[in-house]
Amino acid sequence: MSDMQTVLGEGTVQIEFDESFYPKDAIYGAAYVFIDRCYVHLDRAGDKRVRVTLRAKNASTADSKSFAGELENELLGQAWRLSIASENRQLIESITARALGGAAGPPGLDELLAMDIDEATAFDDPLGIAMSWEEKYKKKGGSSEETRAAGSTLGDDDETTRVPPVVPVASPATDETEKAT
Amino acid sequence: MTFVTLGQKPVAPPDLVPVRFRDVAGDVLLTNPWGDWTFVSKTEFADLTRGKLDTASELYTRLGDKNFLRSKIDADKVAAELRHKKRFLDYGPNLHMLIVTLRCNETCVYCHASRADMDAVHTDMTPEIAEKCVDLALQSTSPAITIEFQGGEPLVAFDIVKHVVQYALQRNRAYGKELGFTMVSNLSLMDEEKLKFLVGHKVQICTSIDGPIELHTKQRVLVGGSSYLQAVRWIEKINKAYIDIGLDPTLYHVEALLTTTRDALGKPREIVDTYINLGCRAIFLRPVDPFGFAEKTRAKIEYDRAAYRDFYRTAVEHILDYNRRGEQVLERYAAIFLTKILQGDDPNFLDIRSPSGSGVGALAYNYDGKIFTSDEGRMMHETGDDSFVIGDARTATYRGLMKHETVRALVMASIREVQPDCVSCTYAPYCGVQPEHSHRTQGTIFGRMRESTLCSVHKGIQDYLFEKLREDDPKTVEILRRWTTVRERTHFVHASAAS
Amino acid sequence: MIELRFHEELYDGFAIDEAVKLYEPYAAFTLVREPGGYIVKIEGRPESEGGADEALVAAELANYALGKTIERSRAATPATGEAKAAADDDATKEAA
Repeated sequence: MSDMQTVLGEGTVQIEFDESFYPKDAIYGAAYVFIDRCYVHLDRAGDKRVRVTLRAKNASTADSKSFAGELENELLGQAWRLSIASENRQLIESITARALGGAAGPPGLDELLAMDIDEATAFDDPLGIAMSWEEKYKKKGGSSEETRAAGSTLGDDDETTRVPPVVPVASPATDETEKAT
Repeated sequence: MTFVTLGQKPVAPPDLVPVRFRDVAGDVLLTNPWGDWTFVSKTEFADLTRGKLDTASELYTRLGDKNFLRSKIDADKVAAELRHKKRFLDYGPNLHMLIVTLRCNETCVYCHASRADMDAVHTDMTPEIAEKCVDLALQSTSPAITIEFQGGEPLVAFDIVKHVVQYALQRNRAYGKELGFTMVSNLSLMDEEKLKFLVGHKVQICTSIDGPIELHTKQRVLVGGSSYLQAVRWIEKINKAYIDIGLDPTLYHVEALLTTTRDALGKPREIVDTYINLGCRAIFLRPVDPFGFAEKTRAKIEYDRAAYRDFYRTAVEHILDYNRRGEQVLERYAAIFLTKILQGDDPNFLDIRSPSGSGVGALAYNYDGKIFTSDEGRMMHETGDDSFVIGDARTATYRGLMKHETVRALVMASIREVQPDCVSCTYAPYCGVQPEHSHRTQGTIFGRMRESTLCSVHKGIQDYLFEKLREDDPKTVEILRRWTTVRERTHFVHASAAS
Repeated sequence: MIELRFHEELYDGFAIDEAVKLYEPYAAFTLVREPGGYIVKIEGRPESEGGADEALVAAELANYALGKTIERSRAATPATGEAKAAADDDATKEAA
């Protein structure tokens, strides 16, 4: 069973814990919360164990026990938040895109004119939208990736059935994003 | 060592939608993700956790009527209601706070770090900066804009106030917004000429009243005078001026705001009596907040939020008593939450919505042109924390402000439905917490709600309101419903056609 | 002299480099790479030469290195979807 070990000093706290309970991002996030009040150091304390050291910037007014408790609570909160965010990523993106898109509104003429579109980039076509189907999935001289993506064996005539690769359908979030920009 | 058997793993009836639950008033309050609510007895709740729901029962019918059963939900209707409730997402900031000066002639015990002495003229907003602020505000995607004058004491920089009003009205001819103005003032520098302008240009006036005269004058020091008597004198004059131009006094009157300090906690009834005697129809029982100067005087004025909750209950009971005797007066916090709970609507109070209004609902423009996601963000700037600066009125573009990474971070941090604790809180559909508050008190814009004083206040208020709804006294419920009725103050709106 | 040890699994080497560069005016630094991490040796410079207390420099450097490590680790992970991309475009150009 893992345990969390806490060592309190005058204006300092050292907490050691099993990192399998807390993703690295949670450890970073929790430690960072103290960066205005403390000097923070992370270290390994053995296999799969992390030690966080907090040293109060103002030792005379620091409450080490309170820092320790806060850090433990923040670790839990950060870990849980990462889990919730991961499960609800689409919801977060959707709400955020809608809020920012609604607030920002469409770009004005000045902004469109200021966009980095010139002769070199104007005809970039990363998704191959402007390309004809035949050109994209040509029978002869096509790359092996294209033929695999086509999903069937090649034949010598146009009647060979080809299965085009799956094209991702824009999600509502993406649509809002398109509107926003 | 004693082992406690936790019992069977709960199993919900398959037809039940995801619910959150909380013990309230001896029963169990259930809410669903779209804001419907119902009470069930503890026995009924225990049955639900064992997957039992008799389709012939009254409970089944009730749950079906309130969108708690998948098989009975009209998904299109619920989706439309949710879209309506969250319509504020489609619009940018409607509230634009202009801090026209930091100079102030009063010294208030809880004052935020936005006050300078009367000779600090360098803290007056220049006309050029004021115009830039108005230009940005009018570019908001919100069809309705309110420009709110704050300070310091905005009457100190009245020339700038006048300039902003006139400039905004003129510029709005091109934008066509529904434009409104409000001013938060201690009223001690008011005179007939200023009053004539403000009333003539439909500027709504708000002031602070901390309670009975002795409490107010102790907390709000006006050198050479009584801050309370001055405020009351002008409240009466302004209210009379509204009557003189034919406005309904029950709708048009000076709004007053309370900041509940430690000294106020022992006087809930006296504070309510004071407000009602002044003709106020709404009382906003705001707890003290942690920004600015208030931090330095925290030892004198701060308090445990349990004490605030007791104060709140006593004060609101007293307000309800007035209502039962025929006085029409509401408590603002309650009205905000009840609008969501009883009407299924959102009044768009920026500090109690998800995501919060930081940046996307409101902007604060400091006298020097710096722009902030909120007035709280601006107050933190005054004490050295620039986390919430997002631009300068002289150089910023509107869309640039809305696309600022800080605005994005605050939006994401304030989506309550996906934050620890809020994710399983019964009040998540109605609640909201300002991320700047969490940053100030806990060092993180996400916040740890169990340690948040704001969360504690919001939970306390909602517990109280749901207790009242559980009691289901018809007269009380009728009063609470009436508090959700919105009577638009159309007089204060400069409609676009008229600008 | 103060020695700061940064475990390579917890700190980014480039972040440490950046931190050292930032605080170079205040102290003399020696960086050593060893198995498992990085060592930063800090020797204070006299105040008359623009230096600062080496303990303070060490502490501030460690905080900065942590912040930069976090920044780099976030930049390295895929952005949180379309919302970030949508809002990001001109934010840095237009923010005052």
